[in-house]
Parts: sequence; C-alpha cells; structure tokens
Amino acid sequence: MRALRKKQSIPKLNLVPIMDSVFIFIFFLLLSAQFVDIHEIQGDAPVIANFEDSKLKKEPLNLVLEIEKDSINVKIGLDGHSYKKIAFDDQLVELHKVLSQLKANHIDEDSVILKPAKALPYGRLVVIMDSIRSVSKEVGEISGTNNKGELIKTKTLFPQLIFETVM
Amino acid sequence: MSSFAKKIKLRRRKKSPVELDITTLLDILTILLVFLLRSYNATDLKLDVAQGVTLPTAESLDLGSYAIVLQVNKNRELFFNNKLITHLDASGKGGPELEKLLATEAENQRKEMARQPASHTKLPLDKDGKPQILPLKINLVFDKELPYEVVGNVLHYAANSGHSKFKFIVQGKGQ
Repeated sequence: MRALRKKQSIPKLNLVPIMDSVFIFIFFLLLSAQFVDIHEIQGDAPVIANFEDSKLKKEPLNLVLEIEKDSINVKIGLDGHSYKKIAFDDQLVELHKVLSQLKANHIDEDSVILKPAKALPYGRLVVIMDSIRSVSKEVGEISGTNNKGELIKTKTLFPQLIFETVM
Repeated sequence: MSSFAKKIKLRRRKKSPVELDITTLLDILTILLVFLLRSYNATDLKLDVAQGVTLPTAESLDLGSYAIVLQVNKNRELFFNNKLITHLDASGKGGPELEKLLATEAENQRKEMARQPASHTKLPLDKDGKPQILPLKINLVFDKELPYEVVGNVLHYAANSGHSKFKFIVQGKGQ
C-alpha cells in the first residue's frame, strides 16, 4: 500500500507556453490601452436643402432649443413659435418629458436645432446634448404612428444635433 | 576511485533541477490581464488630451473614430493634432492662420479620398451622376468651462473649411 501511494505523485503542469502567450498578450494590451474612457457625441453644421415635394402631408416639427444659462426655450413649427420654457435642472426631467411628448407625436423626426447662449458653459451644453439623444431609462421607449400610419417604437429622442449659429 | 571523486559524484546526484513556484506571478499576471482588458481601446482614435483641458462627462457610449483633432483648453489655446497653433481671443476668434490650416487639411483629405480607388470610396452620387462632396469629420475637444462663444467660433471655422461632421469628445461617466 505504501509503495502504491508513493508512486501516485501529483502531475505537474507545464505552464511555460501559457506564460509566454500571456506575456505577449500583456504587451499588446499595454500598447493599445487607453486610460481615459473616451466617447463622442456627434453634431452637425446646418445644411441647406431644397425640397421638391412642396406639399408636405404634415407640418415638420422643426424643433429648436434656445438654451440660456438658466432656462431652455423649446420652439417648434415653421414659424418657430414657443412651445414651452423650461427652467434648467440638473436631471433635465422636465425637458425629457416635453421632448418625449413631441417625439411621440412626430416619431419620424430625428433632428433638433440647438441655439446656445454665448455665455453658456460647454460642460452644461454637453449635458443637454447627451440627454436629448435618447429616451430616459424611466420612460423606456416611446411609441407613435409614422407618416405611413405604422406603429413605431423607439428608444431614441432626437439624435441628430444641428448647431444653428455656426455658419 | 579516489575519495574526492566519490564525493563529487554524490554531490551531483543530490542536485535536482530547481523548481520555482510561479503561482504568485501567475496571479499577478491574471490581475494585470483583466485590468488591461478593461482599458483596451477598440477604436482607431488615439487621443492625448492637451494640458489644461478638463473633459465634460456624458452617458454617451458611442466610440470615437479617427479624424483630425482640435483641442481648446481653458486658457483658449488651440491645439491641432496635439500641436499648439494659436491663442484664441475672448470671443474664440483665431485669426487667418487657423482658417488656412483647416482649409489645407480639408484639401489634403479630399485629395486623399479622390486618390483612393472608386470601389474603396463608395461616395454617393448626385443627380448628375458625379460623386458627392461629403462633409469631413473633425474631433473636437473643449474644456468644460469654456463659454459657447468660443466653442461656436471654433465650430464656425471647422464648418467653413468643410469639416461639418462634429465629434465632441467626452469622458464616460464610469470614471
């Protein structure tokens, strides 16, 4: 019995190849590592285009956000009439509510024109740009009927951001 | 056999290969591997944030892509691809050298696009069947305290030179 036990030794794994590959992998990852978590928000300069079909079935939303230091004025329609003036709060709850209502009524619309005030800090503008692109987690998704009468469900609000004052 | 030779033979027999315990080293490597995998950058955008720039945070998860990079720090110093170009005035105006630089860059990019084989460019065609002039992309890095007046003027310069696809670089909220 004792002799049998002596013979059964624990098999030793050869770890040299895996160590080699792990070292190579670490060098590769070290070179491609980015220690700042960087993302992007896309925006556009305005583009002038001619519509051939002048008789539109539905008036375009033409959503404009006039962003002041403490408030946001939501304007809609071709005449650009004021729809609602919202006080700026950190969570932008009220703005989300208004934009969700507008999106539900104009589910095909994707663009919003931004008119920030000159003194507005860039950080605050980014907060607004970030939040108006997608539906908040509390709401989940928005549904509405498109121009063809089909029911559409979406998680995006107005992802196409256009800066009015740059051209 | 002499007694000396016997001693040497005995010594040689006793010497077995030294076994290193690499368990701890493997543990460290595994931790390092996990940490590096988390910070792995899958995009082709390599960005060195200029001194004096504090990035705004956002929840956006869109990954950046390669394009020219304009950075403006809190002292309104403008960097083009990490090279200090000019000092913008209080309203964000940068003078003719900035306009010239962006125009030259746009021209070079368009020439490069034209040089590529037609199958690679895949440009959409206009009504006359000619390839459309596509807007060029530009990565924009601004300090979060800068007023929009400065930002707007930089956007104006970029858009006028044909770089009208703005990519605002932000920092993820996880950090």
